[in-house]
Parts: sequence; C-alpha cells; structure tokens
Amino acid sequence: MPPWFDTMRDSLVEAVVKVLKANAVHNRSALAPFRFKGLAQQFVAALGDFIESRDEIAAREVGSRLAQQGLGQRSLFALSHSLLDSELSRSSAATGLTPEERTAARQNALVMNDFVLLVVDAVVSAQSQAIVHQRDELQAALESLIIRRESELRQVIQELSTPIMPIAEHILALPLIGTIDRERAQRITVCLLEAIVERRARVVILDISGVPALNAESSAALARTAQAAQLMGAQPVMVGISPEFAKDLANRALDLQGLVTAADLRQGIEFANAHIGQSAQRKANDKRRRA
Amino acid sequence: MSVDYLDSTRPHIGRIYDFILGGHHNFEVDRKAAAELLKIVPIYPELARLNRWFLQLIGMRWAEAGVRNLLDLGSGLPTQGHFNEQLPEARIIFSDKDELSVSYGQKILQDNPNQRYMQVDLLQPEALFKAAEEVFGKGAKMAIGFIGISYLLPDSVIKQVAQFTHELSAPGSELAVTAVMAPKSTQGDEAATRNFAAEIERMIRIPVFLRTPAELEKLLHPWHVIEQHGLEEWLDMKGFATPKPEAAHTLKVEMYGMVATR
Repeated sequence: MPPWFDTMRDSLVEAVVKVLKANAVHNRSALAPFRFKGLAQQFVAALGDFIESRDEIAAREVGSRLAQQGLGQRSLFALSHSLLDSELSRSSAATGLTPEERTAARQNALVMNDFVLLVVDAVVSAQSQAIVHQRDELQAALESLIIRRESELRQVIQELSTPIMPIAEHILALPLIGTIDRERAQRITVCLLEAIVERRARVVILDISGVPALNAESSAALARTAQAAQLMGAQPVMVGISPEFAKDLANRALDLQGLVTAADLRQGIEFANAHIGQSAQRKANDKRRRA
Repeated sequence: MSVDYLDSTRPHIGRIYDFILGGHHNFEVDRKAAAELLKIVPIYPELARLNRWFLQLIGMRWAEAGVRNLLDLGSGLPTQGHFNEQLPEARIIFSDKDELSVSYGQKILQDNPNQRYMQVDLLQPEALFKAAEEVFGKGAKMAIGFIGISYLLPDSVIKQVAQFTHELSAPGSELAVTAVMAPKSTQGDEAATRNFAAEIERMIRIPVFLRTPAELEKLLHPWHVIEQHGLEEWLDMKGFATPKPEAAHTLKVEMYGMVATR
C-alpha cells in the first residue's frame, strides 16, 4: 500500500461507511449496518493493494467477496462518485498542491475508478449468478412440492378407488365405481385381503354396479379377487352384475366356483347376514354336540 | 395445507417480502403486488431490511452467547444471513406456514442434521412445540425467534405462543420479537391507522395488527421484557425508514424490537 494512501486510510474507511449507510436500502439484506465498517475496511485495503499492484484478477476476487456480503451496485456507484469527487477536488488548483501533486491526484482518481469498475464487474457477475441460482432453488422447491402433492393425490385416489366399508360385524362391502384396469384390480385385491384379515371378515360383497364395462383382463382379475377372498376364509358375493357382464363371465369360462351372486347390494347384505347367522348356528350346534 | 404457494397467480406475503429484500424467490404476481404495496407503504423496503438486520443482530448475539437450541417461528425463506448461517452448530427448528418456504428450507438445511424445517400454522402450534421438546429436551434452555411475524397474528395467537414457549423453555431462555406500531404522533388518529391497516390487509390479503410496545408486552406475559427499542435506534440507522415526501401515504409506521427473558 503506498504511503500517501496509508495516511488516508481511516478517512477513506469513514467515507465508505457513510456511503454504505446512505445506500443501505440498495444493498442486499445480508449487509446489515453493523457490518458496514468491516466491509469498508476490506474495500479500502483492497483499493490500496490495487493502487500498488494493478492486479485486476485480485480486484475481481474482492468484488465477488463483497458481493457475497451483500454489497450492491448502487452503493458501488456512490462509492465511485465519492472517491472521484475527493481525489478530483484534491487535484484542483485551489488546493495549493504543486502541479506534479495535482497530476498524481488525477492519476489516483483514475486508478480508483478502474478499481471500482472491476469490483462492479464482479458484483454484477455475482448478482447474475445469484439470480440463476435462486431461480433454480425456487424451481427445485416447487418441483419437490409438486411431487409431494402428486404422491398425496395418488394416495387419496387409491383410497377412493378401493372404498372398503365394514357394514356389519364380519361383513365388508366394496362398492366399485369406474373402470377397472389390471393395476386397480391388483390394488383392490391387496386392500381387500388386508381388510379381511384386519376385520376378520367372513363375507365380502363386491358391488360392481358402478363399473361401466369390464374387459377380459378386469373380469379375470375380479374373479381372482373373489377366489383370493375365499382362500382367506371370506365368502365372496358379487352384486350388480349386468347382463352383459354375466354373459361375458360365462363366455370366458372363468373359475367362479364358490362365488355367490345377488341382484343388488340389498340382496347381497341379506345373504351376508343369513350366511353369518347360519355359520353362528352351525357353531352353536357343534358346540352342543361336543358337550 | 396451504395452496397459496403453488398458485403463481396469487401474490404471497413471503415471496413479496423476498422480492422487497432483493431476492429472486418470487413470481411476477408477487412483484406486481409488491409494486402496489409500495404505493401505500413506500418505506416497506426499509422496514423489511430493519427487520432482517435485527434478526442478524440477534443471531450474532445468540451466537456469541453460545446458544445451543433455537426455535424460530415464522422463519420465511432461510436465505442469506438467517440463523442457520449465524449459528451453524446450534440445533435449530425453523417453522413456517408456507409450504414453499418449508420445501426450500428443507433443501437448504438438508446437509445439517442439527437443523430442520417444519410446516406449522401458529394457530395450531402443538406439533411444533412437541418437536421442540423432543429435539431440545423438556425444559431446555433455548432462544426463540419471533421476528417479522407478530404483526400478522391476532392477540390470541401471540398469547398462546408466549404461554407455550414459556412452558417449554428453561429459565434464562430468551425470546426476540419485532412488531409494528403507529408512532406516537399519529396514535391520536385512530381512524387513519385503522384505514391504513385495512388497506395493507386488502393488498396482502392478511390482516395486519399494529401494537404499541405496552400492548405487546402484555401479550407476551409471562415473559419479562428486558430490552425494547425502535429498530432504527437499535441498528443505529436513525431516520432510515422516514416516509419519502412524495409518498401518497405519509402516515409513518415504526418497527420496534423486544428481547424478553424467561
């Protein structure tokens, strides 16, 4: 750092703090007032180094560091104005300096201006990077939210697509609405089997009156669901079978052994109650016989 | 679950605040709303900065005091200068109602196992306080940040927050809060203050509550307020948030901060 600059150091720091304070609203919010002095000291030290070395790379690096601390362009322009004003005033004839000293002061003003321009360059570049970075962060945060929301929606749809309702002790009803594809049929089977175990169901009523059409795949899948329920010890009852579906089931020669059918849900429930009642009666009779 | 964050057709207060602070985590609709808001509160950028600087000042104080546990209420976007930068070693629970802030915060904090971000509506804060008890331990000494949010909450919620945090924390714990008030010179003009708050509310679609320090102190009971200043004074920026003469609304609002202890 040149000796002439060293003598000005404290007053320069003071001047920089004053400019930072006057432009506080234009800096990034990370640059709080209690950090002004520290930043001013860094700025002035780097300026002193630049006057001696003219190292442009070092000046840009300082600019990046200052930008990271929140220094904004507007403050830098104000700093430039303040430094130039001070040096150009010194170089005017009225100050009583020798012509050589005035020339040196003008030269210093130009060097200071070069330094500020390099710092501005670095600050602008850092700000552009920050904009891109922050936009990416916002995008990533939004995408992760959308993924989470989609997953929640899928969960809701799955729950709605397999609405298993316990309608009496040991009796479950599964009113199916909408198209049934392979994936949904598999989900229905899994959910139904879990519900059979959990609720110790003995009758499950599959109401397909809300299913508009069944293709070969979904017919077979439903038949498999009924068989699986049977294997778990629950009597499957299929209600709401349309004439077309009945014909389709017959044509496909699916294994429907053990599957009970009923015209509608009311009849299905009546059957289920009777089935549970008969089962209870059988158990009571067996108990009496053993006694 | 809030849906505002995903709706880029509606302004969001957190994103407006980010824009005002010079951030880029915002949409065009937020920037437009900010422009409208600036018409009635031209000193909003100054107020927002005072608020953020106070947070940094308090964060620095707590870091110097060796705070190990920090519960932050209404954290917003944990961008530069937030508590996670000031106290990287501390256990911090950030919280906000806005899911975008939470999602963003979780990404920022993902490499720090000591710090987490929870989605919490302070109208139903039980889950947050339960988590704080689990993370910090029951009756632990802690610092509580309540900065930049009290003026968006009704009295009942502030009372509840004060009670909950008081029960949760050990003696020696600290609570830092910022608030907005109509200055002494305009307090007589209650209608003007009410209109002003109503106009802001219309803009940001959230009620705004202006309170005097005495009113806020009462709501914070049983916390003991040990320090209270206007933020301009606290940050050595006297006159910083003075309305510009050309402003349509020259009704001045003041921000102040309080530190209370348990």
